[in-house]
Amino acid sequence: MNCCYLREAVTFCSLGNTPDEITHGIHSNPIEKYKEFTFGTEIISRQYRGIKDKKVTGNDEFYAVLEQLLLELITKSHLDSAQMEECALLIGSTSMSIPCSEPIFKSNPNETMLPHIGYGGIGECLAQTFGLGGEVSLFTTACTSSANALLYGQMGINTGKFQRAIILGFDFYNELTMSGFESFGLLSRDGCRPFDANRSGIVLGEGCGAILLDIIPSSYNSQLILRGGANRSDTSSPTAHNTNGIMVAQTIRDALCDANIEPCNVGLIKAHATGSETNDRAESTGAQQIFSQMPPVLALKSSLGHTLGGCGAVELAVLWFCLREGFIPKTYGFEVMDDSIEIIPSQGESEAKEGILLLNHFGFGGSGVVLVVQFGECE
Amino acid sequence: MKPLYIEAVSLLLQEVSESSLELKKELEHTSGQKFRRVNHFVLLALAGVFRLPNLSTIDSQCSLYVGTANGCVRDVIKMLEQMYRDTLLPMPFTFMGTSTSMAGFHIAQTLGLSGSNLTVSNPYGAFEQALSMAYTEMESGKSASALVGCVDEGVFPLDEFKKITHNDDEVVLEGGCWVKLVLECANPLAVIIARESFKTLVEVEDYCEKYVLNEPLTVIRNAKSGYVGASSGIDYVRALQEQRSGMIALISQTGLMSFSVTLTRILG
Repeated sequence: MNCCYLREAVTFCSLGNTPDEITHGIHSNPIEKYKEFTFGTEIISRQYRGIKDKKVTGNDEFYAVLEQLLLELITKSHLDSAQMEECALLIGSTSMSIPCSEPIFKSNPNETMLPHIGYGGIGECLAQTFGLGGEVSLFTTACTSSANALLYGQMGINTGKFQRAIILGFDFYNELTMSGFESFGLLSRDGCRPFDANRSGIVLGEGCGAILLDIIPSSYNSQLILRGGANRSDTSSPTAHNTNGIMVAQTIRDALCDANIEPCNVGLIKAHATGSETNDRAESTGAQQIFSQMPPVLALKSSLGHTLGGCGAVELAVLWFCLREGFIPKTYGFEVMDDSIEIIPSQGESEAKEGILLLNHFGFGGSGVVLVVQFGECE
Repeated sequence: MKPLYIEAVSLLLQEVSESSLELKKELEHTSGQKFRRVNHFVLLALAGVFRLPNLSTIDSQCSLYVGTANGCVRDVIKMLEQMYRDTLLPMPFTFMGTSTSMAGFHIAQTLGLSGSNLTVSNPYGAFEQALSMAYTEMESGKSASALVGCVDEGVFPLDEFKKITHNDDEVVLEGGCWVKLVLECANPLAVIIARESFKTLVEVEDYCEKYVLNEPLTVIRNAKSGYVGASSGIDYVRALQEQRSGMIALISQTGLMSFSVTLTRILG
């Protein structure tokens, strides 16, 4: 069985567009930024974490940003043409090309058709631009989209289906998504507070992340290895996992089993932690069914915003940058423990130690993906 | 490789319709349930699944792979129209309907499935992509059964939809196809005996020639088309429904320089 290494990663997010900017930015409280959008006949404003110094407001910028991201990944990885020819491209996103169509719709409100129909075109265009010859797959499973792409990439490498795969996760700003979340009353007005008793909802974010999974280790001193994971479906509600935590626990259990890891060996949980009460409750209840002693818990969405389908790739890239710098970041936004949940996420930075990390992802449509990652050398 | 058996298949193809009434009626009859607050795309998926026989015996760990070329386009357009043309407050139900994975959710909920649940696409053939992923999961021993399908819906005005999706067909169809894969089966329709990937079509054809030898062979190729991502899946399911013997080679482009072939022996 092949070992699935993270060989390289690049991400553009609200903290910055380079590992240095991101690891520097994550040392400080997230800057409050607001976005105005149309909601019915009103213009309203909600917190939003847009990508630093980049705007995606149409087709050209959409592809320009994704191409820049992939170019940086390919350049930093030193992929040769033979490796590119057989490299798979696995894409996960919730909004896909909506940010391309929406501005056209907005300026022509009597438009009757989406100008950019179909998911495959995104993959085909990017594969052609860079001469990526392997399988092109697109995953659209809400907030677990790019986590599913990572899991499938690991399975493909383990089984020898391919030797390397670029995982591309992204979600760019669009009013449809902002309005949709607002229609559920899920958007926070004063910031994301994961697991906090005074939580007030989600802060959406924008981001894109590209990760090269490979049978070849990375050139960095410390390796990150994707050991396995599980995808499980909770059908109790279309919008959230059941707060009884049963399916969250099942997904964690199956992920650990797939990676051949005992719960007691998990050194860190990177929680999904959207800052919504239902997610906090379902995730913590589920985790408590698996771990007799809860490992340290980290939440990144209070720093990055919730990058939806992109969060699997974006948050893994950000976490890897921090681990390479030798630290596990602080969870921002948490102040008061919710007595009914009893989870206190990381309250300060701590030293990164080799070990097993659990990465949780839960989304609309009952989708749950838990990934198991090893920080350190392959056995 | 382990042989993967095809236990059942189904097709649902209809002329693109604005109304979902007939689909709801059919579903009420086939599933015994009433479906409210689900959109046209979800109904197409559910109705296709419920044309499969023996669903009551389905294993709760059965994986679900839904392929689609375009996803739930109607609700995306509907929500954009509500936002920008009608300046209405967006409704939670409409927003939920813009999430293509809701089809997988409703199928899993109705059948009581809690295993893998994925909605996937590919520039060349969404059905083949779904089939390939299910195959990889089952071959690696992570699942003993999988429902694999492909669904796409049409959008009005049809002329514009045809233009954008490069569809020259006189009658535009919507719907899709479904296949139930299992590792063990008492009475299978067919068995997938091999699935291989190659860099060129010539290599695929050489492989088929050497592997299949003198058996009657039906070749189905995926064709890049704006119309339903299931186009070749539909041909594949039709062949499984209509033929009583022989082999089917489902040849698919999966990437710029990546091709695959799935060889299926019909068991009659």
